[in-house]
Amino acid sequence: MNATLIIPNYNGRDLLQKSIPAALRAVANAPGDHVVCVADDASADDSLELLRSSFPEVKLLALPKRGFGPTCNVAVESADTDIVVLLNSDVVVESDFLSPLLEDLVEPDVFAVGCKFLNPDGSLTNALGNRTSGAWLGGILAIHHETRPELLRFTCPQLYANGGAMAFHREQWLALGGFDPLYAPFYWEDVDISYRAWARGWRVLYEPRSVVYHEQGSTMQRSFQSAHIELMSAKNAFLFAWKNILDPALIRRIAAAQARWATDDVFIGGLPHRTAALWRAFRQLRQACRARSREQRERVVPDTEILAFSTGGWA
Amino acid sequence: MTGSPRKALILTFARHGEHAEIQRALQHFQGMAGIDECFAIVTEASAPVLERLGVADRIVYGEGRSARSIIGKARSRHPRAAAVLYCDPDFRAHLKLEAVALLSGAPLIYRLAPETEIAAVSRLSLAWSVFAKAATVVAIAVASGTLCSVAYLCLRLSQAFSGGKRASRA
Repeated sequence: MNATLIIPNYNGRDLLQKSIPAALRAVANAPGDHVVCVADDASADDSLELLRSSFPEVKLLALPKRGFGPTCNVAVESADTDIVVLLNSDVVVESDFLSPLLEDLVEPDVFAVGCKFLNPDGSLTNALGNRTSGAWLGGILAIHHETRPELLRFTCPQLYANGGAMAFHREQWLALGGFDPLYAPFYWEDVDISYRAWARGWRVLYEPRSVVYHEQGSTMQRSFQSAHIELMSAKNAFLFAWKNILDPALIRRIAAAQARWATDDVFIGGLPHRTAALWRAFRQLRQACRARSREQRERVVPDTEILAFSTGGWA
Repeated sequence: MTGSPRKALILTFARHGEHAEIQRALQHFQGMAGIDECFAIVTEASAPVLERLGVADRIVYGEGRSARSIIGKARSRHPRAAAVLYCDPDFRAHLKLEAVALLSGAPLIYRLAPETEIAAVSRLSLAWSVFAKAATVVAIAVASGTLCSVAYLCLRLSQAFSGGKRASRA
């Protein structure tokens, strides 16, 4: 199986200098004919010059400004391999990370495989994206990222594959419609597409043999203020539930809990974004309803079973 | 002179410890005439910080205790003063802490936030703040309840009219 490693980039020149050599080493190290591709989202820095002058072997997609999700979608559509690996520009891969992902994707019902995320110093403290699971708290899907090393030794199912370093079947990605623009400008696209894959009866796995180093938030924080990042994340948390939860009793409970969750701004310090996030999500309600109708037509696995399956009840 | 020690109350729901502000509040009370010791109403996150700073008497909010029981415990210690610790210099949020400070019976109440000096606040002013924040809670609850109800109805209607199948695994 051949793979295309796609690195979406926006003003990440200095990050690409570290991530591309590592990706090229990994491609050379794995059997098969693999490609590294950078999808540039109209960077204003000299990323394109760097790529053309220093990395001529890298396929370059110079795109007009679209934002993270649509840029990924265009890049995946343009790939001509069965397997695609999405890599953030702030992710540096180990040279042997690719082969285990390809092994896992031999199974046709596996939609995606997520890597083992370490901090740049090799630690796991607060690392995000490892063996993810979820639970409904306050009307919001609270994501748990495992950080205990003893629980990160084996390939296992997980709720979602972190978009920072995820491998997947291109055909299944296209069937799912890729990252949903509902979540623009960023966050929750990877949770959403993984959840929808589970809902169609496909699996999402965690692969600890595929190690990557992730400088968390470095791409976001150079373009957006942290308050805006939190606001967008909270908005998308509302939209995720509205779009994906089809179980009538569960969505009723979630809607009631979300209304209470929004009032926490007045009780808890440092959270002045929830009511604003609810309002922003509400303004996208029509879009969420349309996406929900599409999902309903394709749903095979009910909501009540997805969280159980994705955390090991069904592998 | 015998009798029970004269106490000051520190109220903090700090999520990340906020070590510096807690220390400033403690220093303020330690230098204050008529205060022998401090006790605190804390979260699980801030409890270890107060323990390290030598505050032995800590009431941890949550842990199954109701607001009424927390207020009762605070009142039973007869605090002479109380300090409310906020997360931001505009003294936003922390409605519960303000209400507990008022109901604790402490005659002197101070408030403190990062990058601000500790300052006394009158009980009337704090009562107004509690009222305004409570009114905000009601307004937000009504608004968010309305938004979520409309969203719920729209989601259910779109589902009903989309004609999809009900998900089930054979």
